[in-house]
Amino acid sequence: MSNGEGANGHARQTDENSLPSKSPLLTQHRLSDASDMDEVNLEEDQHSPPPTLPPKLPPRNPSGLQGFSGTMAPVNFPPPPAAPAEKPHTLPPPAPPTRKITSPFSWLSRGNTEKKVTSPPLPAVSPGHDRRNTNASMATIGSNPELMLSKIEDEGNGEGSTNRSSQSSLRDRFKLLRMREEAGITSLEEEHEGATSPGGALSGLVGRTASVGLGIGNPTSITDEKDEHVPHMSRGASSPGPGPLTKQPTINPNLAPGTAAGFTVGPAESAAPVDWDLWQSVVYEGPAAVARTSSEELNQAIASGIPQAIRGVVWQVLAQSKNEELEGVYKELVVRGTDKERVTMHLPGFGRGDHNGRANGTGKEKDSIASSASSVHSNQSTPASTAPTGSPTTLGDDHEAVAKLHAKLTAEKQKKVKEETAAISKLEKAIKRDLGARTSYSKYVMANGLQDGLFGLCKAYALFDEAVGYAQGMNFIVMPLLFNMPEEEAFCLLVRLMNKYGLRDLFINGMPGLHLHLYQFERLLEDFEPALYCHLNRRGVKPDLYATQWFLTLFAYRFPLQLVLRIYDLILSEGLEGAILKFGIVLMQKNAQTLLGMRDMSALTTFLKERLFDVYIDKTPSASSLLDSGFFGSTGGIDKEVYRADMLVQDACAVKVTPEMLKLYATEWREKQQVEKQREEHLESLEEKCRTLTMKVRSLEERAEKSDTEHVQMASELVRTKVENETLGDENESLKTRVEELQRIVEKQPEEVEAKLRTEMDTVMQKNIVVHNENRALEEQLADMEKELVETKMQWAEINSEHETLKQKWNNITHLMNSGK
Amino acid sequence: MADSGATSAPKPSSSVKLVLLGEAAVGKSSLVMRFVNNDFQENKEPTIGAAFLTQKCNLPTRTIKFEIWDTAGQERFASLAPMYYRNAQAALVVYDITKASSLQKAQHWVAELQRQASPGIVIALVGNKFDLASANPASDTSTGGDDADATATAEEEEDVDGESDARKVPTKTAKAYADEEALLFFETSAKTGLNVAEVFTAIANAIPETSLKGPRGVGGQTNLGRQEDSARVNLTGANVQGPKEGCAC
Repeated sequence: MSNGEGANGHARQTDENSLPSKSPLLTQHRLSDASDMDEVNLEEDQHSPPPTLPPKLPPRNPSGLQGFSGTMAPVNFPPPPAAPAEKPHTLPPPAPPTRKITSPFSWLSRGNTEKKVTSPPLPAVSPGHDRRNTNASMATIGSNPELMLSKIEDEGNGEGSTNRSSQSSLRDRFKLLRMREEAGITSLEEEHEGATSPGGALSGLVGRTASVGLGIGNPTSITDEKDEHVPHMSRGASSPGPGPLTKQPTINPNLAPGTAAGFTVGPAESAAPVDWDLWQSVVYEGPAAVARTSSEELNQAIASGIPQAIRGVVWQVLAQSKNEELEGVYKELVVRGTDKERVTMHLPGFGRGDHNGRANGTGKEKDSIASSASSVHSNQSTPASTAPTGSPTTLGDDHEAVAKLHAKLTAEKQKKVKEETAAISKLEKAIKRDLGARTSYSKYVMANGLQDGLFGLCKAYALFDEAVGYAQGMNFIVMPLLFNMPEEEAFCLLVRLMNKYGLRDLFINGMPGLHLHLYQFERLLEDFEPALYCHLNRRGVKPDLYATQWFLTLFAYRFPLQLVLRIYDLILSEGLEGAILKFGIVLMQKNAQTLLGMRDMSALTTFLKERLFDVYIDKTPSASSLLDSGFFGSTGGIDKEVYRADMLVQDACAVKVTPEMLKLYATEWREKQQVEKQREEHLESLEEKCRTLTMKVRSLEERAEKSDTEHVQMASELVRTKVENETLGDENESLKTRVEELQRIVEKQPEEVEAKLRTEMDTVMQKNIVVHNENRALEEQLADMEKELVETKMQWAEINSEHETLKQKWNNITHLMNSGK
Repeated sequence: MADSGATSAPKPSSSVKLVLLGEAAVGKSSLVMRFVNNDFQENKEPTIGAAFLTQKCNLPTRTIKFEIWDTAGQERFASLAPMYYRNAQAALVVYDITKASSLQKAQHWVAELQRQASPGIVIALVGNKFDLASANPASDTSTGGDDADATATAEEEEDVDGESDARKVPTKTAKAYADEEALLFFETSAKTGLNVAEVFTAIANAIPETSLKGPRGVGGQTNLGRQEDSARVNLTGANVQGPKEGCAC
C-alpha cells in the first residue's frame, strides 16, 4: 500500500469518523494508522469485525437520524399539499432483515441488526417475507449474468489497487445514502403523522446533495455537508417549484420524473422491498462476490430496479469504474483549451510543487495524473493502460528527473496548445451543435444544471480517446449517467463502458461493433420472431434503419428515461451486448402483432422508432403509479405515461439469448465479413487485373493500330508496285519482242555476210586471177623485152665495137690522112 | 400511393428512393422535415443512423412518392451510407452555405455517388441555410425568437465578426461546380422554407421516365421538358428575390 492509498484511506477514514463524532481527536487518532488502513480494512470487511468498527456503527445511525430530525424541525416548510391517505400503505418497506442469515459476512449483518434495533422508525416489515420464495420463480431469469459479471470482475482485477481505494469511497457514499434513504423514510413517516409532506422532497434533496458533494473522496466533504444540510434543505423546501411534489420518500424533486419512476414504479407495484442488505453487499463485496453467493437475488434486484438513490453508486460498483486518477484526467481534459487550463497550469502546487520534496499522497497522485494525461496526449488512449500506472511506482522515482520530464512535457504542451486550441474549439463547436433539446433532456427540470457536464463529458472523452473522438450518439449516453453521479465519476463510468463493456467498438471508425450487433440482432430476430423478421425484410425495413439508434445511444435516443435507466441497470450488470440485444428482441416480440399489421414502410419505421415502448405503458396504473403520473403531470407534462419498467426488464431477462448464440453469430458475422472482405479483395484484384489487362489491350490496340497503318502503307505500296510492275511487264514484253527481232536480225546477218564475203572473194579471186594472168603476160612481155634488150644491147655492143673499129679506122684514116698529107 | 384520391382521374404514380447526404449539421433532417411536415425545429438533435420518411410530390402528369432516407452526417457514420444510397434514384447532397468545408464534403459525396451509386441517379446539390446569408442586422432583430439561434450559428464561424452576411460559399462557386458535374442546383432555407419544395419538384421532374418503377410509367415527355423549364425559371427567380424573402420573415 502506497501513500496514495493511504491518502484515500485517510479520506475515507475522515468520512467515517466524522459521522459518529466530529471530534478532531478521534479523526487524528484514526489518521495515525491510516497508511495501511485500506488493506486491513478489506480483510476486516471480509472476515471478522474489527474491534473498533461495531461500536462505531451503532452510534452512527442514530446520530445521523437524530441529526436529521433535529435539523428538520426548525426549517420552515411551505404548507404541504393534501397528502393522499393511502400513501403510507403503498410505501415500499425497507430491507427485510432476513438477509443477515444467509450472509456470510457477520459484521455486516451485525451492523444491520443493530441498525434495526437502533432505528425504530423503520416501517415494520413482514418478517416472514422470504426473498428466496419469490426468487424461485425467477430462477430462470437472466441467462448468464454471473458469467459476464465475473468476467468484468476478472478484467478489473488489474486495477485492484486503485479500485479498492475508490471503492471504499463508494462504500462510504453508499452507507450514507442508505442511511439517508432510510432516514428519509423515517422522516416521512414522522411527517405523515404530523400531516406534513415535504419530507419526501427533503430526503430526495439530501440524496442529491449527497451524490454531488461526495463526488470524490474529498476528505472534508462529509462534515461540510452535514453542516450545510440545513441551509440546503431550507432552500429546497422554500423554493416553490419542488415544494408540492411527492409523497414518495425517494422521489427527488430535482430528479427527472423518469429517474424517480424508474425506482418507484416497480417496487411500488410488486411491493418488493428495497433490499438494502443485498445492495450493501454488492457495494461492499463487489458484484462478482454477490453473484457467486446469491446470484438470483442480485438478478432479481437488478431486474426490479436499482433504487434511484443509490443507482449511481451501484452502477459504479457494477462497472468498477471508480478511479480517482481518471477523474483527475477528466478535470484536466475538461478545461483543456479554455482559459482555466492556463490558470491551473500555472497554479503552484498543481503538478509542480509536489516535486519539491512534498512526497505526500496528493502530490504524487497529481503527478501520476499528469503522466497519464500526457500519455493520453501521445495517443496512448486506452485508459486501462493509463489507469493502473498508479502512485506506487512513481514514488521512488528521482524527483528531479520527474520534474525535468514534467517541465518538458509542459513545454511541449504549451507548444501544442495553439494547434490544439483550434482543434478543441472545433470539437467544442461540434459538440455544442448537437446539444439539442432531446440530447440535453431539457424537458427534465433536473437537467438544467447538467448541461455543462454533458458538454464537458463529451469533450473530455473526445480528447481522452482520440481514436473515438466525439461521435454522435455518445451525447445521448452521457445524460442518464449524469442524472445519477457527478461529472468526473460519470466520465470514469463512460470510459469503463467504452472499454470494458465494448461500447467503444460501436463508435470507433467503421463502427464494427455496431455492424456486429446489428447482425446479431437480425439473426436473433430471425430466431425468435421469424414471421416478423420476414415481414420487415420484405418491406425493406432492416435493423440498421431502426436499431442503429438503439445501440448507439443505448436506447436513450427516443425511449423514455424511466426505461432507459432500467436498461442501463441491466447493461451494467450483465454486459452491453447481451442486454441491448435482449431489450431489442423483447421490444420486437411485444410489438410483433402490431408490426405485422403494418404494411407501409414509413409507418413501420416511425413505429419502430417512436412507439415501440408504448406496449409498456401502464394503462391501469396502480394507486402508487397514479400518484406518479400526477407527479409527472406537474413537471412539464411530457412522460405522462407510466411505464411498466419492471415488466420490460423481466421480459428482457426472460429472453433466452445465450452467450453461445451471441458468440456463434459473432463468428458468423466475422466470417461473413471475412468473406465480404475476401470478395472485396477478390474484386479489387480482379479490378486490378482488369485494369492491367485494359492497359495491355490498349497497348495492343495501339500496336494493332500501328501495324494496321503499316499494313495499309504496305498495301498501298504493293498496289503501287503492282501497277509499276505491270508497266514494267509491258515494257519488258515490248523489249522482248525487240530482242527477238534483233536476234532474228542477228541470226540472219552472218549468212548474208558470208555470202557477201564469198561473192566478194569470188570476184576478188577472179580479179586476182585476171590480174595474175595479166601479170604473167606482162612478165612474159617483160622477158621478151629483156631478150630484145639483150639483143639490142648486143647489137648496140656490136655497133659500138664496129663503131669503134670504124672510128679507129676513121682515126687511122684521119691520122693517115693527117700523116699522109 | 395509388390512392391519390382527390384528383378525378388517377394520375400515374411511382415511388422514388431518395437519399440525403452531406456533412453533419448542414440541415438535412431539417430540409426533410420542412418538405414532409412543413415544420422547422431549432436545435434539432443529431440523426443517429438514419431516418425514413415519405412524401408525395404532385406533378401535372403524375404523382411521385418520395421515399426519403435521411442519413446521419457525421463522418463516423459514413460506413452506413452505402446501405442507404444503394438503389437510390435520387440524391440530395446538402452543404451549408455558411461553411466552406461542407461544400468539399458535398463534393466528396457527389464523387462517391457517381462512382458507387446506381448509374442513372439524379443528384441535386443543395446549399442550405440561405436565411443566414441574406440576413442583415435589421432582419436579424425582426426574426424575434429565432435570432438567438441565428447568432449562435453565426458564432460558429470564427471570422464572422460583425458582418451580417455569414455566407462562406458564393453561389457562383457552387453553381459552377454543379454545372460541371451536371447536378441540379438550389440554395434553400429549411428555416424559411425557401426553395425546399422546388428542389423536390425539380428532382421529381428530372427522374427519367424509364427508371420509374411505378404501376404505370407513362407520362408526357413534352410536359416533362416544360416542367423542368418552369423549375429553372423558378430557381433563378427565387434566387433573385431571395434576399427579400429573408427580410420579409
